[in-house]
Amino acid sequence: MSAQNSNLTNLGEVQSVAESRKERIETSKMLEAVEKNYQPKGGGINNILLKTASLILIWFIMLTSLYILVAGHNAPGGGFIAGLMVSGGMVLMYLCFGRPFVANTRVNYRLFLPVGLSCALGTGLAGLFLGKPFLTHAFGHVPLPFFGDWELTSASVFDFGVFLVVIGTCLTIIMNIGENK
Amino acid sequence: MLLGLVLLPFAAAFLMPLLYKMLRTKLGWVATLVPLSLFVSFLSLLPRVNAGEQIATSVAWIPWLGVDLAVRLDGLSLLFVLLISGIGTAVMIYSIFYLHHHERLGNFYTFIMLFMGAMLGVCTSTNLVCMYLFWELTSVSSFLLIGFWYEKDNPRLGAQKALLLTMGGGFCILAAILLMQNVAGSLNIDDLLAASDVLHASPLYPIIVVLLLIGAFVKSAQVPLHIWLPTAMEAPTPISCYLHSATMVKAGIYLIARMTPILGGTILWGGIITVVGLTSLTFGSLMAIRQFDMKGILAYSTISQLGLIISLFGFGTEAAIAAGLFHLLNHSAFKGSLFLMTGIVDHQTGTRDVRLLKGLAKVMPITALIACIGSFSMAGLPPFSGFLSKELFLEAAAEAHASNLAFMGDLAYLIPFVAVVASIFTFVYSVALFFKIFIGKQVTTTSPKYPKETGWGMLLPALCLVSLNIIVAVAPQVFVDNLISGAIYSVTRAEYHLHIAFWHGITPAFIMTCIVILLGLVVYFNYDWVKNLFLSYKSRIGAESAYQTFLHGLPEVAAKFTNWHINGKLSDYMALTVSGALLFILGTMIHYNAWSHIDISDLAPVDVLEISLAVVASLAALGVCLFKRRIWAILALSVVGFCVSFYFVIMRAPDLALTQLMVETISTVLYLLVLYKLPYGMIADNPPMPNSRRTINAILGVLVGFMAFTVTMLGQGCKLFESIAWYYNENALPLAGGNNIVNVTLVDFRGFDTMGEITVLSLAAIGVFVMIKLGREHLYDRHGMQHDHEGATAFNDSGNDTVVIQTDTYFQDDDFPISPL
Repeated sequence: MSAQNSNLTNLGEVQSVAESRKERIETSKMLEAVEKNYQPKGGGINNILLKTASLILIWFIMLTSLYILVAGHNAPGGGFIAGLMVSGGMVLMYLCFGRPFVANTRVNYRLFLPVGLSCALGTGLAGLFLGKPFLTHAFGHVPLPFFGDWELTSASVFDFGVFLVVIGTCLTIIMNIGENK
Repeated sequence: MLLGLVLLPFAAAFLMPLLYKMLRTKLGWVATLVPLSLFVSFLSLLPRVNAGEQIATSVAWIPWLGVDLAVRLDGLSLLFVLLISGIGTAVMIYSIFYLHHHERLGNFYTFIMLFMGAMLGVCTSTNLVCMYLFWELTSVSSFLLIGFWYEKDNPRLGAQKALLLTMGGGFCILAAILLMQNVAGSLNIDDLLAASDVLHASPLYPIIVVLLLIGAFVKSAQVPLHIWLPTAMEAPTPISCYLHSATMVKAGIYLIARMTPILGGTILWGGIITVVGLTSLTFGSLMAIRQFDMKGILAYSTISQLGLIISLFGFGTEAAIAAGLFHLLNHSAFKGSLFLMTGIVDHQTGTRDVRLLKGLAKVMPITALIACIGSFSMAGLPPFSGFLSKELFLEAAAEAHASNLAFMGDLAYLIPFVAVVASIFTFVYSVALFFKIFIGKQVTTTSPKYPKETGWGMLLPALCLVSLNIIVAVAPQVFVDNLISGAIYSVTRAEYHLHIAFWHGITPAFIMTCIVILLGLVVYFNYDWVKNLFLSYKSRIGAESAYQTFLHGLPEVAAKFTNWHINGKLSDYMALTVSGALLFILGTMIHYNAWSHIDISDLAPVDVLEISLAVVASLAALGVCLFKRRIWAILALSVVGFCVSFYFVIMRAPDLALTQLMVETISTVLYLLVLYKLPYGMIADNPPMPNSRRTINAILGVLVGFMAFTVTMLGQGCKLFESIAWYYNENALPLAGGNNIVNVTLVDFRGFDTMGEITVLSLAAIGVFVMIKLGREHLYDRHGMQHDHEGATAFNDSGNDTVVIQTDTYFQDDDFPISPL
């Protein structure tokens, strides 16, 4: 019974108002309504510790995965790992908050798959238009005023495509299996 | 030019659907132009071929296999193509008036064109594979035409039976052709002719002969492979006339005739063909007495007459072969006209049942005339051409003991006896076909429609065909000299002059004819008693029951086998797959003694940390197998995964370690999510697994581990090539601009593989999505077939759903609807 839930601190006010029996019945009805409001439907592991921690951690997870994506070319990392990390973060949020989390964001994860594949394929085809074989990558150094020497590669676009596909795959599978209760 | 003529019907077949859209019911007139033009062209080529000119075309098709698209017109081919195009014209004109306008005329004419082209190809090909191609095309078009009214059950079943049997025969022919190529080295008929000694001497000769003859007998509906012809009568009557009496079933005879100079002349050849031919002759004529359906009578009559022709080819003498070819011509003439007559009767009265028809000559005089001439010719009565060819047959049968059938010794004296008996019954049913239906006191009132004479559209083709009987009888020598002698030369490679006359004197053949007519009349006047006698014969064994057993039994056996090993249990599939892999890989390893090749001399040193990690991972893996609750098993599995990632850390592979960690985390979460759906309880109880099965699983697991171990050690020790790692080490930075070799390899050097991997990932995700979200129930009948109901009702060809006969149309056996043998 979530009447013992410490979240419902404002219940004391409610209870202090109602004194008579009729009001107690009304109160219990109101209690139910309040419980239901506080109890999200289909709502994962609704643990306060987990929720708070994950709300903070998700930012780090997302930033780290983006870093790993971009840094993959010269340091350990790359599209696969970044994608898995993002998926891991989303899974963490899904575990904590449950189906409302997914429903509210309303992102169609299946869409990531063709977009990612197009990135990868497009990188490959771009070489064809310039007369080189399929999947010929190009890279170049661009000196920027503030950042210094910046290296651009077409492989990064490819990697981004891989990133999207991995996110799409993991999240499609997990969200579909999870939703189907 | 010849190739153009042969391929013309194919081109017409392509155009037919379009023309149907434009012309609708007028399509038949345009379609008739094709066989008409073919007939006229071939007639114009007749003098040139008889003068000895070679009209041939050859187009190289698959040169390195020896297959050419080669056609040639010689005497035998010319006879056949004139038959095909001539009867084709008649049938086309007939079908314009026969088929209702609401039938699928586009399909009909397309298939007939297809057939015509294929049959022309069969009869003119000089390359055996080319001939086989056209042969199978005739089977396919016959299938399409038999099943023309596919809404009813019987045409479908009949078409299926025809296709299965003729295709089976076709495979036998293909095997024979390939064996001949193997022995003689060529697929061309001329080369094979030159190499016929080699063929005769080869040990494969009996197999070649048997296979070839099986194919020819299936096509020509000889016993015991005749069962498809009666049920092929479900086709529209023009088709029955064209394919199943006048042309397609003669393809078997054509093949035998073509192969006679190459493979013939031996005891095996002559013996098999004679026996089968005479059996079919007798069987067909006896069975025809039993039939109630006119087309049934004619179907069995076709079997019988083809048996006659084939047995003449079996006798082997030049006289016999000449008689066979002459009878081929006459048979097409009278049988074709009789089929057309049947169609007219059916169209006008609504039934084909001979029990219901009587005295039609009063209202349908011309049809009666056609029937009279046709059936008398079939019976072998003078003054028609059937008499001439029957005489020749009886003469050849009487001479048979002196021919190359001399090996049969005294049995050869049986042949004329058999011939006479069969001829008696041929006489009986032919004469009954005319008299019982057309002659009588009053016109029948038991048929569905009141009969009246039909229009000239249907009568004219039938009259043309039947008049051929008379024309050939009037001037037989003309036909023989122009048509038949060329064919005789193609088959026997000797100049033989066939002399035909009505009166040869009191020869044995004449005496036999007189006996046939006398005894035939005796039997005919006791017709009902004889018919009832034959109908009382019921049998359970035979070719038809064998076919039905095969048709229903094979899917059942297959279904049983499938049910045995595809039983829905994933663990069984896994066990089977793993056993197969073990068999191949471990078997190969044992065969080559792989363990002697393991070289552990340059392994890196192993320290305590790695050993302890290995122990932990092994214990966790063991735990996966042995834990009873699922959640422990899942967690143990993730322990294994994390140990592996720890290994990657130790081996200084940060990319791999990161990837492994992430994958492990996510897959553990996935397992736990799925855990909610699995039934609660111990793993081993859902479903309960017997200990024997667990032991087998354990053994398989140990063997797989052993196999993996061996593979790894072998890979370590047998370094055949330099490692490619140094290439990537040196070239990652200059060529791809990146320091992280792993990542650079993934996206740049091996980008194509990565693209394949992400495609597979997408497919997996879509697959999971489809299975879960759009999961549908699919019920399928394992056995996949329904038993066809016995005693299906019969329909006549005009498309009227008049139920005439309650049991199967052609046979009166209530227990066993199709022929008893």
